[in-house]
Amino acid sequence: MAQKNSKENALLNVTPFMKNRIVAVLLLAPACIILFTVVAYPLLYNLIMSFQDINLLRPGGTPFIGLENYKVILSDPIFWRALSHTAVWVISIVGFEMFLGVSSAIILNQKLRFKGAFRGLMLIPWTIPGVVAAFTWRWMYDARFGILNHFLVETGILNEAVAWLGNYNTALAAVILPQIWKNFPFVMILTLAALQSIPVELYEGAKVDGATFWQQLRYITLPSIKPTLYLASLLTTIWSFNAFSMIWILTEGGPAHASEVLTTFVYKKSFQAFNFGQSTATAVIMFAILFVFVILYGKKIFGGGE
Amino acid sequence: MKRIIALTGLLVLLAGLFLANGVQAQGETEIDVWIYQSFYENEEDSAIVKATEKFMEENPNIKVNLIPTVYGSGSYRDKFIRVSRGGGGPDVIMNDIIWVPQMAAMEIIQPVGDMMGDKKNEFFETPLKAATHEDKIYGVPYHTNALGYFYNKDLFRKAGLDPEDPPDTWSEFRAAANLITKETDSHGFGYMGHWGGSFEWFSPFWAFGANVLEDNMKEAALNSPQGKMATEFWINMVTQDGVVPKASSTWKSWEEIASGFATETVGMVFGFQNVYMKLENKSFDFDYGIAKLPKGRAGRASILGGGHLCINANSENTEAAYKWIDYMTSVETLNVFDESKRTSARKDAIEHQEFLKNNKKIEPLFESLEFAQPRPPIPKWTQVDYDTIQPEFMKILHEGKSVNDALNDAAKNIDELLAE
Repeated sequence: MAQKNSKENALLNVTPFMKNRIVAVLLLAPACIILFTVVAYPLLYNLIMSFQDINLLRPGGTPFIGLENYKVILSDPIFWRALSHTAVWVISIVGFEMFLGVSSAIILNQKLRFKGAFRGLMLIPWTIPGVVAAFTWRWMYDARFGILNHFLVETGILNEAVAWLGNYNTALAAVILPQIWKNFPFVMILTLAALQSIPVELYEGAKVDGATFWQQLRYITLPSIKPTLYLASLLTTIWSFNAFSMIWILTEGGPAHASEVLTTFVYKKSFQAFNFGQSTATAVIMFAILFVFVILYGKKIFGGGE
Repeated sequence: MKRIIALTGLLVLLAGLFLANGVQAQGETEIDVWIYQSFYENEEDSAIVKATEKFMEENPNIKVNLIPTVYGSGSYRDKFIRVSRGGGGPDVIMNDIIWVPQMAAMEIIQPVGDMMGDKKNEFFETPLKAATHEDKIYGVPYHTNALGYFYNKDLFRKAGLDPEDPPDTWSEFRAAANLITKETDSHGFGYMGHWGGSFEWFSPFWAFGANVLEDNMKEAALNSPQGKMATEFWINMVTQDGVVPKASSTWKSWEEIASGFATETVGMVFGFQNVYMKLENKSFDFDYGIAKLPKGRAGRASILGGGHLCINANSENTEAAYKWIDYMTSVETLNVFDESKRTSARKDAIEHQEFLKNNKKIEPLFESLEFAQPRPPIPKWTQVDYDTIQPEFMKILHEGKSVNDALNDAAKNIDELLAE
C-alpha cells in the first residue's frame, strides 16, 4: 500500500513537471524559430557562400572552392589597408566617444543652471538622421564655402583652405570626427543614468573624510559605473565597426582607399566587383573579429570581471 | 455573435481578393515599371503618367504600374539586382547606359533585339552599341546625351576671351583655363576630383586617338603613346597649370559640378544635359554658354550618357512589357522628354522634340551625339574604372607617380582583371 502511494506521488510529481517543460518549449519555440530565421540562418548562409565561387557576372553555377575566397582576400593589399583603417577608426571613435560621453555626463550630473537645456542640446547630434549629419559635415568641410576652412583661415590657423575629404592625409580623420560627434551623446546618456544611481551618501562620506573631486571620481564614481562603461564601450565598438553611411556619404572610402574601412570594402566587393563569394568571406572575417571582442567584453560584463 | 460577424467579414474579404485576382488573371496583364524619380516630378500629372494612361486606353488588357524610384547605384541598380536575383522585381526598368552590359552578363534582363526588328534603325547607333552584350541587344535606347562643356561668358570677357568663340581645340581650352585662373578670382575649370578626374579625362584621351581597351575588349590599350600623351596633357593642366581648384578635389556629383559653376568657383565645367537642368534651377547673375568638347589630334570625342528600357529576365509578361516600351519610344510620346528636359535617343528627336527645337543653347550637346561614344560596354567596366584607372589617377595626383608608370600599372591590372 505504501509502495502504491509513493508511485502515485511520483506520477503526480513528474507529470506537472513534464507538462511545464512542454509548455515552456512551446512558448519558447516561436522565439527560437524567429531567432534562427533572422540570425542563425543568414549567418550560416553567409558562411556557406564564403566557400563558393559566386560572381554575379558569371551566372550559371556556384561551385564550392574551399578557402579560395579567403586566400584572395587575405592576399589583397586593399583588405589589409581597410583592416588597419578599421582599427584606427574603431579605436579612435570608441576612445573619444567614451571620453567625451563620460566627461560630459559627469559635468551634467553636477548642480548646474539650465542643466535640462544643456542635456537636450547635447543630445541633438544623436537625434539627427545619419544621412543628414553626413551631408551637413560634407558641406562644412567644403574647401571653398565650408565653415571649417573659413574659421581656420580667418583665425590664421591655416594659410589656405584644405580639401579635408579629398586629401590623402586628412580623409580618415575627417570621417572619424563626425562619427564621434554623432554618437558620443549615447555614451553620455548611458553614463548619466548610471551616475544618478550612485548613492549620494557615498559622496557625503567621502567629503567628510576630505576626499578631493578627483579622489571621489577615482574611488567612487568610476568603480560604480564600471559595468555601464563596459556595456557602452561594447556597443560603440560594435556600431563603429559596422558603421557605413557616414563614411560612404563623405568619401566612399577614398581618395584612393585613404579612408577605406572593412564595411566599404565589403560593399565594393559586392556591388562594384559583384563578387559575393569574396564579399561574404570578408564579412565572415569581420564577424570573427567582432565575435572575439564580444566574448572578451561579455566576460567582463557578465562574468564578474569587475 | 461577434465571432460569427468577424468570421463572415474575413471570408467576404478573402473571397473578394480571390475574385479580384481571378478577374485580373482572366482578362488583364499587369506590368510593373521602375522609372527614375526625375520623370515623376509632377507626380500624377507627369507626362510619363499621362502617356501611360493613353497607352492603357489603347490597350485595355494591359495595366501598367509606374513605380518612381530614386536613381543611384545603391538605391536603384543594387536594389534591382537583389530583387531580380531573388526571382522577382518589376517587369521593366529604366536603366543607366553603363549598367546594361552588367545586368546582361548577370542574365537578369532579357535580350530585346529580335523584338525591336527594324525599330533599331530609329535610334542613334551608339546607344544601341552600348546596350549590346555578346552580339545581343539588351535595352531599347530611351534617353541619350553627350558630354559638352559649360563656360561662363562674363568670366571669359574678364579674362580677355571671346565668349562667342569658345575654345575649339584642347590647346585653346588649356590656354583659356589658364587665362581665367590668372585674370579672374575663379579657376579655369572644375571636374569630379573624387574620382581623380578620370571621368572627364576620357574626352581628351579619345580625342588624342587613344583607347582604354583594344578592339577585342579583352586587353588594355591605355598605355599607348597616344594614351600617355593625352594623359600627360590632362594631368599637366591640373598639377602644373593649377587651373583646377582644391575644392574640386572632393566633387563627386553633378550637383556639385553645377554649384561650382553657378558660384563662379570655376569658369568652365564638363557636363551633360543634366547640368543644364540643374543650372536652370539655380539663381546666378552671369550669362553662360555651352560648347562641344574641343578637338584633339584625332578629332573630337565625347562621352555618351543616357538610359535604356530593359525587360526583367523574370518577367512573365514580356509581350506586354515590350508593347509599353515600344509605345514609350515612339514619336507620339516625345513630350515626356520635353517635360524632363531630356533628349530622346531617337534620331528624329530634333525634328519633333519642342524642347530641342526651341532651345539653341543646348544645340551643341545634341550635335555632340554624332561623335559621342560609350565607355567600353563590358560587364567588368565598373571594376576596370574603380579598381584600376581611378586609383592610378589618384597616385599621379597625390603621390606624384609618373603618368608613364601609372598607365603601365593600370594596363597590367586591367589585363589581369579581364583575364579572370
